[in-house]
Amino acid sequence: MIDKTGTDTTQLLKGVLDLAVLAVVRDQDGYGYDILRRLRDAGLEDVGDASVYGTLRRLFAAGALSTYVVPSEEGPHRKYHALTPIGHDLLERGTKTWRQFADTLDQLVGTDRKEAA
Amino acid sequence: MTVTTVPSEVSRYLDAVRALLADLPADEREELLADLAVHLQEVSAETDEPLELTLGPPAAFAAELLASSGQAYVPSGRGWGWLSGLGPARRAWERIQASAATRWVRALLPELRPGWWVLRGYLGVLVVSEVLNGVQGDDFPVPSLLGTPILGLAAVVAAVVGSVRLGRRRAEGRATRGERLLDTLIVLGALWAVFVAGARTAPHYVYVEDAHAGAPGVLVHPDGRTITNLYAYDTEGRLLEPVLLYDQDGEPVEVTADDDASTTYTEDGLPVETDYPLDVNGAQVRNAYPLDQRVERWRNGPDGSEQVVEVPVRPPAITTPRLPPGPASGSSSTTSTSTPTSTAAPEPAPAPAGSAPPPPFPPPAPGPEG
Repeated sequence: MIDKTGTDTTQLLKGVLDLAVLAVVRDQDGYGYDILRRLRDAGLEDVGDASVYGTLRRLFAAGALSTYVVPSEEGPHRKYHALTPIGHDLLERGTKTWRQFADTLDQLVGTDRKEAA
Repeated sequence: MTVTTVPSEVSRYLDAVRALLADLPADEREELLADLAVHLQEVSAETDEPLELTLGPPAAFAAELLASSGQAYVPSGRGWGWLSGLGPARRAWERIQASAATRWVRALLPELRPGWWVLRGYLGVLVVSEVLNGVQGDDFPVPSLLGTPILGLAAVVAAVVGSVRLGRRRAEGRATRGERLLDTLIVLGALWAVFVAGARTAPHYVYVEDAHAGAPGVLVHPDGRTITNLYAYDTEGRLLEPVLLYDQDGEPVEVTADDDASTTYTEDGLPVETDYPLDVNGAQVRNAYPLDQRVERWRNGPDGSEQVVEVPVRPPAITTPRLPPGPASGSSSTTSTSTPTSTAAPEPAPAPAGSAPPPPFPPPAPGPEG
């Protein structure tokens, strides 16, 4: 997951991007590009702009995120995203699912669990 | 969007993505794209690289956007990239695609599909029979195969079944590449078949360019050459004049249908002026032959200038066949070998008794003056 292994990572990302975005927003509200940057800084270097953008739209439409606009003195106004109760719930359940899934897969491939954390 | 200034690169990229999402309902699309301009601006401010390099081509971006936003739509933009230079036209096209009428038609199309599958099968067989039998064959509406319409009908049934199966497989996305190609080929062939069938049922207009074709309304030979005058001879080769000619219905035979016309034209296009004799009431008698005519010719005058000269029309040089002596109603169909009895000359001949009742007629004018 962490290694930048080309299409493999891209494929894996599809299934867990929701979780990653929710987790990033839980730490701190953020606008689109900011969230993207934080995901990349965290190691998801392959994540695509469109994927993050589309995921934000979808989570917003599902009620997991709320938005508010913060005027900016230089440049465009920024739309910040924050977790709603639904979003928190979604993140919790997603985290559980991910842990189970990661454990299962760790056992299958037999790698050190710390590396996958 | 509260965007003060949008770099042209951003708006270009945004427009391209928007065009690729033309299949989405307008409100959904705009909602999806609501914050994209801001996002693109952030990206473009971050790096000096063009957006296409940072974000990938708009098509990939749009596809990823659709996939991640949970839209069930597949971008229609199979290669709309070439349209990127046609901003206004593409926006107009986009509006058309998003219009209520277009969406209504699109919604209707799937319902028409089964009908098209049936028609496609029929047209497919029609194409084959057209190819085998040639387009002049009698293949419409029931195509014939190997000379029998029964086989053709069987082929139509088989083709319709196959076409419907293919259509369903395609609709379910299970068609192979070859099947999709076959589908396309059938459509192209069907277009051709419709064209051919349409041409068959349409009236045929055959234009024959004939240098000898006379102008409309003039007396012509069966091969189209214009007849400008008629000469009657007796068996002795003497020119009869005048003779009054009538057709099988008793209609006077005239060289032109236009009663007011006194000008006809020779094969060479030279004008021919005719002086028709008048009956006792002063009316023209237009079926008295030979007609008294003059041809207008161009001639070089002594000083080299061109002059119009009226040349009287003289009887042609002919040789009459020698007929066996006997009653005129002779049944002998063999004509004697013709020996030249005389070349026609404008020698006045006694007026023969016409078989048709001649109109009151003044004494004939003298023959063509030389």
